[in-house]
Amino acid sequence: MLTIEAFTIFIALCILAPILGALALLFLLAYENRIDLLEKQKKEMALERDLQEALYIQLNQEIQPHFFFNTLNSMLSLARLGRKDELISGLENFSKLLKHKYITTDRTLTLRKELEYVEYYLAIQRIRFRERLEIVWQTEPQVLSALTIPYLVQTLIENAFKHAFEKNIGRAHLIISANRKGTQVQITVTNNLVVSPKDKEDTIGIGLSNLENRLSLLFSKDEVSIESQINGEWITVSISYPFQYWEEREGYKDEHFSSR
Amino acid sequence: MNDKWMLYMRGPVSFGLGLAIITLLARWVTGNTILSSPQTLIQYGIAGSIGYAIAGGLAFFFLGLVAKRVRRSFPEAITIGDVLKEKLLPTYHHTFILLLLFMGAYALMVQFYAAGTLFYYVLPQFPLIGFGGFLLLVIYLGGYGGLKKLTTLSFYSVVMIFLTTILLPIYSYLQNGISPIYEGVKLYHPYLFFIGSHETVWFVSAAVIVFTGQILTDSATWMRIFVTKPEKIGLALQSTGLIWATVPMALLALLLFAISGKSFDQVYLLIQTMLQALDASFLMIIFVVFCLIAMLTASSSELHGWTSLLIRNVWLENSLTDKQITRYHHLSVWIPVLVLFVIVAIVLPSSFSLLFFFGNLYASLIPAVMYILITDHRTGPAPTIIVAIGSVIGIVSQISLHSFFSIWASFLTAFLLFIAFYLFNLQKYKKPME
Repeated sequence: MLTIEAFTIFIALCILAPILGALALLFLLAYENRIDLLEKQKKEMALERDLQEALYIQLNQEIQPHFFFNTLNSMLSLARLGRKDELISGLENFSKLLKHKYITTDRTLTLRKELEYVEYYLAIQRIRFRERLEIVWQTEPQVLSALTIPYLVQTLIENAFKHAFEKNIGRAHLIISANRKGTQVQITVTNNLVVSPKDKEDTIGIGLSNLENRLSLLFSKDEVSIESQINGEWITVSISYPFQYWEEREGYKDEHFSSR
Repeated sequence: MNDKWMLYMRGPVSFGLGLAIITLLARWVTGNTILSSPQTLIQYGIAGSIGYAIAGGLAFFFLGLVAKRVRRSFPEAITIGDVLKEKLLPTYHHTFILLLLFMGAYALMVQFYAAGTLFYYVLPQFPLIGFGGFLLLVIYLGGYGGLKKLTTLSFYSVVMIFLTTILLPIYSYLQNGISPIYEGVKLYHPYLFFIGSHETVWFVSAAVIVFTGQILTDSATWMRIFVTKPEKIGLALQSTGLIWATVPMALLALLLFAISGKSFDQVYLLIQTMLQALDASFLMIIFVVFCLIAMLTASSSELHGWTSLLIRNVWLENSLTDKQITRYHHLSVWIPVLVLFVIVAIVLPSSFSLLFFFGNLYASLIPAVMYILITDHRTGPAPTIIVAIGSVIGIVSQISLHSFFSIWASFLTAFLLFIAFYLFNLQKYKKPME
């Protein structure tokens, strides 16, 4: 049997509960946008910080004197041989690549844009490696509008050159694929000439963990996966994250990205 | 798809946390919530009423766990039919959609009964005229208004819900004092204060199952989930559960005040007793407006969900012209409303039990819907067959068991059958869905 004291407490609860509910809802309506904005700013700051770190790694690892002098020597050879068209094209690509490396400040971009910069890089590498290098592209057109982070594909490809093609002799095969699998974007880079255990370790090293950190800032951790598979002297690195369309710069301020 | 239908079904904006809670709350504070509260109080006492509120809240918590995953897996879905289309083989997905349409029509009928009951007491001379006007508003808002208009209406509904559940109990208890109300209830209805009945425990456990079944199969709820930002869904549903539970609690406090020191003829007349107990006319007006707007929002949302399921997953899939779809849209709005109007007008509300009607079907639907939503592969007729077996076993068991046990019987039968079905097909489904 309910006593008067218990009844009083119960009625007080019945009266207080809707008041608390209304206050909670009012608070949410008034401050939801600000909380979202703060969260977004926090994420953007973390992305910015990671981008700086990625740039630092890129500049340290890839725009190194070794690559720079090799490229310049290749250009010099083209000039000496009088292959003017190839030289112009090479210089043009080198200039675009350097420009991209030094002025990229966007925290996200389309996969199309990212692959465009990868092509500049590969065009220079083609001058250096000539017929030794064989590249296969397997990209689906519908995946090109997907949102991605700067240097995602570039890091994988530079790893292939740095830890395999430049170190070991033989024909260099590179397979780049980008597909949509259900709600996920899957990017895969496969290359050969990964000979020593150190090459293997270096290929899946610090660059990949930086990529994983940056992707986890945009998507939840369980939706992002980076896997590597070694088969003899071949290595395949696959990155999977949710498919989302990249918004135009104006929309970017309000809606970072959207899924449709 | 035509922009007109897209705008009708999912409106122009995505919901954040606040909007999602408001629209879900307005959808689920229904005529059933208002009218079944008296029934629960009289049959199962204060303990049963508290259990009823907790059961509703738990159902939202449960949905929060599932909805998050579904929203992420099907980012482009608009209705629950879109998910069924992906997860069931073609013929069977239509069968399941038919089942959901049937349950939707039944839920709409319950809303209309609640509204009909209210009009019997608010407008005793012209109940049908009032009820007819109410239905025209439902058609305008739910049938043709679309999600944008319903969201605006939900704002007003939630304001009225809070105004009523805060103002009326405070006024009643401050004016009369808690002690006289307690003595009045103890004198006339001492059985309400009895705690510890086994039947109450069974009632609450059955209520959790039926509420979960109702929410899980509700097209309007899923439509709101699909327009809510994925990262907000879990918290939105859990907060809705918490806030929703406060409404039956406040209504309970109000009911105890209404029946204190007096008796009543029949349970369904309690709403009249409640109106009479609110001696100040402005309080009466607030209560009636609250009932009307809550029923209007819930019924319109229900009709909107029902019509959207038909448009998106039946008409639009049959490569009909826009003109044909528009004609079918008119029919799918007007025909169910008119048929239900006739049923409500003929069958008196007193003869209708609002609690747990079709409870067996809802109980069997939970494992089926969960199986469809959670597993990765496409399924054939199994969910439909298991729902039918579960419901039949539950209904047959009512001959020897109490209705609450029969709800559990339906749930457990369907649940065990799904486990057996899954284990039987485990080898076959090891490969991921193509």
